[in-house]
Amino acid sequence: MRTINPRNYNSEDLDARLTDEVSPPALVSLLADADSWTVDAAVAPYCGCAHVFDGLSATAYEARYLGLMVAPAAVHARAAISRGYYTLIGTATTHDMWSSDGGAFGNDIIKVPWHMVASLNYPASPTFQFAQHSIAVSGGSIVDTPTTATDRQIELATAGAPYIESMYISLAAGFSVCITEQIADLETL
Amino acid sequence: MTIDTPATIQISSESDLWVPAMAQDPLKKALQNANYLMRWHRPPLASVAYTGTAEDTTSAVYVFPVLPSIDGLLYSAVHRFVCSAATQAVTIEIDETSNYAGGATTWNGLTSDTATSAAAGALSTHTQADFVVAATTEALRITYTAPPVGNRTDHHIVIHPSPGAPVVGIMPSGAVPFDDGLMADGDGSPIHTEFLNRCKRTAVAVLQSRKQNCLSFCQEESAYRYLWDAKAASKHYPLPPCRVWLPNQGPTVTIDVLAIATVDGGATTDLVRVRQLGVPSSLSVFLDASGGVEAAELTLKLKKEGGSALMTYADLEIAVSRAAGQETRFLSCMGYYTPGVD
Repeated sequence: MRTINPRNYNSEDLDARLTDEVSPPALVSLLADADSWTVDAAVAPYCGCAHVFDGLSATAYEARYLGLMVAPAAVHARAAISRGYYTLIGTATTHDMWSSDGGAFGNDIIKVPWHMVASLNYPASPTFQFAQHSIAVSGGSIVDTPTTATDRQIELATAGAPYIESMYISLAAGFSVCITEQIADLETL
Repeated sequence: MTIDTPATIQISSESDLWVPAMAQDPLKKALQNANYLMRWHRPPLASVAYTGTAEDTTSAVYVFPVLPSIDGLLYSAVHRFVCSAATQAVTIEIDETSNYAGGATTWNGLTSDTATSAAAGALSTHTQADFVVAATTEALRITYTAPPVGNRTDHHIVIHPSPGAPVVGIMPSGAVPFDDGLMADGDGSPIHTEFLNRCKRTAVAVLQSRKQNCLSFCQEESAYRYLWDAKAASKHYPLPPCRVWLPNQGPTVTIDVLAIATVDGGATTDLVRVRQLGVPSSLSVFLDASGGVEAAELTLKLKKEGGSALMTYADLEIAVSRAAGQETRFLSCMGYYTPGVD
């Protein structure tokens, strides 16, 4: 079994040669370190881009499709959703979200509760540009075969090369995705 | 002698690494993984969810700044849009410039072709593959034509590196492909310390030269959906905040922030502000609405959601101001993360 080594590049000397870092250089750990640098880079999740966009002020934008590049070894993810109050969607109770890997219909749709409602008196207009907003994180539960549409982690394809995951989010003013689980044993990748 | 580039990352077992055989592997496999990185490390150059005109019956133009790889790589773009009618032809063009200057910009075409819309109201996805984005490119322009029938709503574009298999030679970034010639004669060949160092050197070069788009906002170039023209002058009014995730990194990370904004007259200084929210004494950067690409560096103090290193994040806010009696036309803002820069 080989687990992922989460490398923090901010704590590394990226300019130093491997052969300057160990003594004596013939240690077998040097070989493992060399291998680790390439594997760690390959499976390191890409940063979760903060997408700022108008998904509130027009009906056609309430449904937003995105394609997100996913690095190898990812299993699950969660999303940060920026949201604001808007009169046209004041009756909505959830953000709907899906990934193509997890399924886009029926019980596979992820329902993230919507808390900003008209009764809270958030400034209503113009919503996207100047209204009050909050950031919510989607659910942490892993339910890959849901029997009802619920707030759960996003399913991703676990691959040995990067790929683009098709995603959908409704009623958002911002969206970003964080890899929250990677494959437990790299040897099974 | 060949430069083998595996299609997926190769994993040596723990036992292979710690009790290695007197054989080409596992070092050969590690070096081939360096080749893999050169071809398959594909963080987005741009991941932009458009703020445009919903159900648009005209063409739309989006312009945003970019920080492409110094290696002059091939890139591919994947577009997402929705048309109200099926099988509509939408021509999509991508242009680049090394000096954005508004209407005076000289644009160079990178790729152009025609997409056919999916079923009415359904998501259309269209890929434009393998066009070179030069290291000197500072902005991209994306143009969508109007569908002949019905309307079009632009959703998202992702542009990512798509280089071919590495070839012999050192890349400008410092990445070096591995040719198995010195190991091809069988087991027992000498191992050069350079082989070991090359694994790290190439990994770092690839990571740092392919900067990752970590913040994006873009509205149409001239059909401004949001115009800073009526609010009180000399105050920064924000767009919604959004969270950038920087897994396993920190405690601080410095990102590059690029913006394009202009004015209808008057002062241009410091009209765009980008800052981190939710931490004490966070930093702000201010950029001018000069009409060109403006750049700054913003240092972020990272937090963790639930103590998870994978869920390391910063909340960012873009805000725009205007001078008294003037309007500010804010086009786009992009952030770029470089691993290891704190």
